[in-house]
Amino acid sequence: MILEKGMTNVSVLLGGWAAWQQAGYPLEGTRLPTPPTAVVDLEEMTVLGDADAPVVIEDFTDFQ
Amino acid sequence: MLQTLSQLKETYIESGLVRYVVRDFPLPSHPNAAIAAEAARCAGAQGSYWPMHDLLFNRQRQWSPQDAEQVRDTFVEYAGELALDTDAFGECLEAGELGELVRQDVWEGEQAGVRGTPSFRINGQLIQGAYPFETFQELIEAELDKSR
Repeated sequence: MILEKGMTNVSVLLGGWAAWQQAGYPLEGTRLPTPPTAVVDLEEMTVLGDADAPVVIEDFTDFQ
Repeated sequence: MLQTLSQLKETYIESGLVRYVVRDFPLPSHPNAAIAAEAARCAGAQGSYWPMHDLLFNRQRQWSPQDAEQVRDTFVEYAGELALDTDAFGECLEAGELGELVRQDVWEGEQAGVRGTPSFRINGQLIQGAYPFETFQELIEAELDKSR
């Protein structure tokens, strides 16, 4: 079961508490870092104004 | 258009009455238009779509006549001016990873009947050509009257 969970560092598993901590494995109650989420919404980057505005202007543009 | 957009912002967008959406519609006759659209998107991926949008319009005369390699370098320089991560920006342009968003806009424009630029849709109503702020104002007020 341990191997199924991807914990294949057997020396750490057998090395006791100190080895576990030294390997940087999580401790109960600690918060794991969360992966960064996308800061920019790629669909919304070209939009100005409120989503519920009564008038929507779409500007089909060609920069050149 | 930048001046009209500035007036629209001040009069309608900031007060929540208008939502303004740029849709890319690079014309095939403009060889640098598609890469410019992608450059704006790549800047947008770093949170700077609008500064790059404005810069591209303001420097249009500089980059328009350039060849493909030059124009790429120029856009990376612009990214530097905007204090963006130029490596990430260059990689984004090179990979063309946001080109799909541009192509999606073109497809939607074609479906909406857009044949050239500038073209606008105001609550779905298509208007082709460049118009002063006052024309937009008239059309916006008509739409606002309908919603009141």
